Amino acid sequence: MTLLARTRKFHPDLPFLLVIILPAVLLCAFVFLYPAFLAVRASVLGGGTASYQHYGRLLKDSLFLQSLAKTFVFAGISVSLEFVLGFGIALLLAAPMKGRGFFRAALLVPWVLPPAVMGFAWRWIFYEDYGIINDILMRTGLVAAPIPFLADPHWAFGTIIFADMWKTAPFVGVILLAGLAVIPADLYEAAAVDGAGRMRRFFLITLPMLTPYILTALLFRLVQTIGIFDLVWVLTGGGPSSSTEMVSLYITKETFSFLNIGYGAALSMALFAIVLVIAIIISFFSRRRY
Amino acid sequence: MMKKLYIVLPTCAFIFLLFFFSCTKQKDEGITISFLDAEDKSGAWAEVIQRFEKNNPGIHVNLIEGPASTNTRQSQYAAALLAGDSTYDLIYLDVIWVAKFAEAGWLVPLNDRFPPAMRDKYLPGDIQASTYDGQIWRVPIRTDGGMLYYRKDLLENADVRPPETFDQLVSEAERLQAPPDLWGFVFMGKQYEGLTCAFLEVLRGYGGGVIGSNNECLLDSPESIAAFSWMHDSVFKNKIVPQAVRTYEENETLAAFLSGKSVFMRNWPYAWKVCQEQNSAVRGKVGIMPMVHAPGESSSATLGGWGFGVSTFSQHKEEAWKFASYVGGPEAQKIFALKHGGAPSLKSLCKDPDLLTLNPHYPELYEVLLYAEPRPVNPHYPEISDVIQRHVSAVLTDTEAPEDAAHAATEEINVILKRNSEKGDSSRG
Repeated sequence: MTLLARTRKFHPDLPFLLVIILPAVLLCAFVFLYPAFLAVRASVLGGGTASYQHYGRLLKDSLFLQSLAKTFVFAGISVSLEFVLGFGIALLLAAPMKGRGFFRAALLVPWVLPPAVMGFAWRWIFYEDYGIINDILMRTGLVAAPIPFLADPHWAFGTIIFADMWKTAPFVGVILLAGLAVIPADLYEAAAVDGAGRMRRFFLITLPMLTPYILTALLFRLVQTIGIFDLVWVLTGGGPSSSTEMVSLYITKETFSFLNIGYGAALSMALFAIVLVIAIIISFFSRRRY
Repeated sequence: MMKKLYIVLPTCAFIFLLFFFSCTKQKDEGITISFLDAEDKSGAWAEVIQRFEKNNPGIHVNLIEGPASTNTRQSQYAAALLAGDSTYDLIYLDVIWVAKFAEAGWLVPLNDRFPPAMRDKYLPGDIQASTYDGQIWRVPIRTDGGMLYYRKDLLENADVRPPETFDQLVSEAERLQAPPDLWGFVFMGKQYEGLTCAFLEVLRGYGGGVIGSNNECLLDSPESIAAFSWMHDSVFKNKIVPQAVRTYEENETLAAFLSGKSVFMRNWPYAWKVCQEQNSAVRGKVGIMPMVHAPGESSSATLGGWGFGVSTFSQHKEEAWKFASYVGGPEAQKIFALKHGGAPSLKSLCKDPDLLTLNPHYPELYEVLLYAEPRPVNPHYPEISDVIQRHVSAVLTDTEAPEDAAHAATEEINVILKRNSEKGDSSRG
């Protein structure tokens, strides 16, 4: 009784609220928390006793650190470009024009396609021998030899950035578009009356009002990009010369190919910690009021 | 409200009954044995399964068709087996998985079911590669060995004989090729297991090796540097290999050769049959021979091959073994050889008159396969192979010099060998 009374202090309906989220919590516990617990356990169990040997090893694992660095570079470039492109898309589609509904719907097509399917499509497009782009370039005489989109380490890295950007810029666009839609028009009118030009209005109204949306999109995109797997797996498999071996591919290899389950679990935990820190930083910023 | 209930309740009851009946029906139909392999393009599996089911009423065999990539299928098996899942009763094992899967406790040892008298019927390399820790873990079904395919017509027109040494291969390729429409040589150059296979043949053709008798890596040797250099030069100096080779797995390699875009190709025996098919541009124009070698050395073929292991987690081990031993037997292997191509691992079938008329190349193939060398038999082979893949791929992309690659690969492999021998000692002691 006292417990119930105490819970009501936080929120009048707390017991009821707890009951209605219970099924979701149980489901999460079953499909997420339990496996996560097993992974933590596997990561600290070395030869039957608890130890941190796996964690000690990963700090000295230069291949892991290289793949991590590669993933950050990839995420940095890819997410930045997605934001530039996504912002452009959002600004274009926020303006009234003919056929806006169609474009808004079409925007979602890349986003809803499964990454693995798109990986195959991109492979078909970028392939050196029978790829469509090289075929067009060769026929039109723009290049003398096929461009090694997937066969050259630098090109392959760029190709993956391009493929990822194509797919996810619309996602950023859609979120920012939603943000633009809720900015009251009278703010702009008031600013215009006060003599603010286009650029000033953008920086004083649009950008601050959009910040929560930008941070939300940033959070989703960074977390997803750092964990990117399917697109790379299908498109290049990590090669050539490990140039596109992102951290999730490295972890998969350690776990399922080498069967170093404990070490693979420790690597996953490390990646989880990194993603968590990023998420906390972004959440911290989004709590601030502008 | 009541009205809705009238609809909802019978619907629920109907769905429930449907489930109920579908479950009991399955029980009546008997036991199902499942395994995973790539798409059954040739229809060989379908025929083998059909014949087996006819003779064994009550047992059904379910081929789950997975991706063409061996690595991906291995991950699929490993994910299920790690979870102790009984989805796969049989494991269609690549020869290199045997030690690792056996070490993980996923395979049922087959010494009792698969006695030595029965093993003698198979090619020695296949049995050797199926044996680990004193037990046999796998019934060989298909055997593989890397070999060199060449365009007989192009060589004859230019009046050159098939090459025997690495230098001859380069000079003939340079003479006959006309890039970008016709390249000299293609092989599996993508950073994956196939690259290790191709590299081992070059390495051993130069007289090199990977692991020595004292459990130390031998890659930091002049022979090994020669092998790395040959791979490098074939792309960058002699330019007999297209740069796209870095994206080639088996299928891409074969596709390039099939469409008449290459004079020479390194591939497995299965490619022979595909080359002879109706829509092949090189039909009747293909010759095969062992891989080339350095003067004074001999040709090497990397042993590959597939076979069945029985899963520890299977609920129907007897039935699974029944199917595995049937597929390992002459009838099924013959169907495979006829429909799918490749090479049977039963010695008797290599001399089978029906197969010989269809496969005039079997005598040469048999010689190659009898002496095919397994990849290092080690439960940590995947890690060793990964080191090789990374450094060969680095050499093929010119990001690492051959000498550096040989040196770095040796150090890394020694770390793996040392780490695991220490682990083994401590667990024993």
